[in-house]
Amino acid sequence: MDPTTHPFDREEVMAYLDGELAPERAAAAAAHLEQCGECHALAADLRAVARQMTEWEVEAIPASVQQSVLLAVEQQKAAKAPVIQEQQPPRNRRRGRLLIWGVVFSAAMLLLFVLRIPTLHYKVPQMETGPAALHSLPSTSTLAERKRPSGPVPGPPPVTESFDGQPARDQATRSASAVPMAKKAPVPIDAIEPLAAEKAQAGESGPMIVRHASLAVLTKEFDAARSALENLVKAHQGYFGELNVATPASAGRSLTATVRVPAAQLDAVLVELRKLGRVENENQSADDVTREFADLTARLANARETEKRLVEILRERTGKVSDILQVEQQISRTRQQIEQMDAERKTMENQVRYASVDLRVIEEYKQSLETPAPSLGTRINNAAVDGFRGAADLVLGLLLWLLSAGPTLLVLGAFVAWPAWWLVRRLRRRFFAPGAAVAP
Amino acid sequence: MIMSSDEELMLEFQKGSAEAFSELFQRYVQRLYGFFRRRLDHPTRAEELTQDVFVAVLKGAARYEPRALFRTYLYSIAVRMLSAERRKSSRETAAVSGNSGEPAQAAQSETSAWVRDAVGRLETTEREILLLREYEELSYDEIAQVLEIPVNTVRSRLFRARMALRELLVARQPRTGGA
Repeated sequence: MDPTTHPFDREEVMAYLDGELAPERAAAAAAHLEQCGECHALAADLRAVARQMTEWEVEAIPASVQQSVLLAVEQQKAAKAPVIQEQQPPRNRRRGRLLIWGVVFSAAMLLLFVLRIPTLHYKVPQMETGPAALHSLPSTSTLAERKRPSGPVPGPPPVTESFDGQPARDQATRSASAVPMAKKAPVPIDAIEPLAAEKAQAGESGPMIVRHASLAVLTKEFDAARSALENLVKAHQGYFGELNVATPASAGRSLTATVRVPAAQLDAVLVELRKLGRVENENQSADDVTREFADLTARLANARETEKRLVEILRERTGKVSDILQVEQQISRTRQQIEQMDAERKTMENQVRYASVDLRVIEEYKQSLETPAPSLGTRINNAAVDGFRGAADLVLGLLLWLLSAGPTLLVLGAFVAWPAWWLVRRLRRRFFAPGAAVAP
Repeated sequence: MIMSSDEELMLEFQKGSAEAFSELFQRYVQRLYGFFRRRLDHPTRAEELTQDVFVAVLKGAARYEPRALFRTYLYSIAVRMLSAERRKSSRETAAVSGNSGEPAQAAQSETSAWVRDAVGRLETTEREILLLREYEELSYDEIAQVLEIPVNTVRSRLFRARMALRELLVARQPRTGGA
């Protein structure tokens, strides 16, 4: 087609018929088709082809397929674990293929796992047990690049940088506080968590210890002790799990608190807490959960592998609806387990990371003699009020007693009065009757 | 519900409405079946694959984002499943779609069979584009998205396919006597 005589090429004519041209261009094409015989003929040919193609019809899909899919939807909606009654004939060939893929995938995962073990042992650094040593690792290094320090880390580690690139915050907090630091520097939470997990995954021998202490302190300066306690907790990046203050009228005040502080700082915190007053009671305990943690981590890793495999199977296959739904059901169960174990692991990590201190601060009670005595008028008034109240209480009490005990007394009197009267009369007759003294 | 767009229905289904999925299913089940039926010899496989596409939609509903049209999404899945099916069947048998006797096709009209044969002779991509345009009624843009090729390629190849089909049509005219 000559572009000088045909402003539209043949493809554009087709696009016009398909409604794919912009409105202005389509209007121009329509006008051109009216005038150009060649293009008109082309359009007629294209229409004829389209018409011819409509002859190829397809029969309606069987209702069983519709029912099968809709049933699957209903079941998926109704329950998390849907099972469909399969209406299609079994496809053993596809199932067999799925099985083969599953086995191959499992074998590949196993191989990968086996190959990974020596690598992990080789690359994972042998870290110091204390979190402070972990803390001193450079923030930019990856786990694989970290090497074990050649000797124990001497003195307090000055580095306060966290792995997530937030360096100065912790240091600023600490330097601002008046509380002197103990041997180990505080460790940012972000830094500990991945390391704890890595330790467990790599089979690191560092123990996971849940530490707990309880302390009872007797203090003379309750308010000062309380504010010191709050500052102390803040400075050590801890928090109060619970805090109760009791102020009884005739006894010293008392404070009961559960303080959670980073485990590495427990000793330092205890030293500070002892300074709050005279220690009446102190207790410390440590629970080793290394084994439980490692076990949990291994189970979690296994569950994740299983989930990955299931997802892979689901992606690879195009099997029956019932098979797919069963795999999905299994995935759902596995994910639930993973979430549960993950939560358990986080709780355990939190317990390890944060030691808990049950603290009781008791104020030394002093009888307050220095309170000013009331005035004479007040005392007379109080005495009069007390007197009146006492008399009124007495009368009221007597009345109430009579009301409550009266009927019983009457009944008792009825029983006792007659024999008593008889006895009195008899005695009186014997001793006081006229002529009784001369009776034989 | 009837008036909702496909995309709206899909979002409803994401929120848990089984009715929305049912509506989508009703809208597309026959079209999808036609899609597979015109491309595969075995009606049962077409049924199974139709079913599989809906199951895939069911599974992927949570991940669906209405960035593209729903039908583009649906036919993309269908095209992928068809490719997988063809790979599998080419391994299993040397039989090529379109030249084997199929009981279900016997009832088709002569014109229908001829169209089927003629379309079967087209080059694979051109045939796919032509079928998506004529039977699935996708726009050039949608075909480009589904087949992951440029729109201009869609247009030029569609034109070539139609011209080739026209040649076959012209060649057949004398024999059919204008039937």
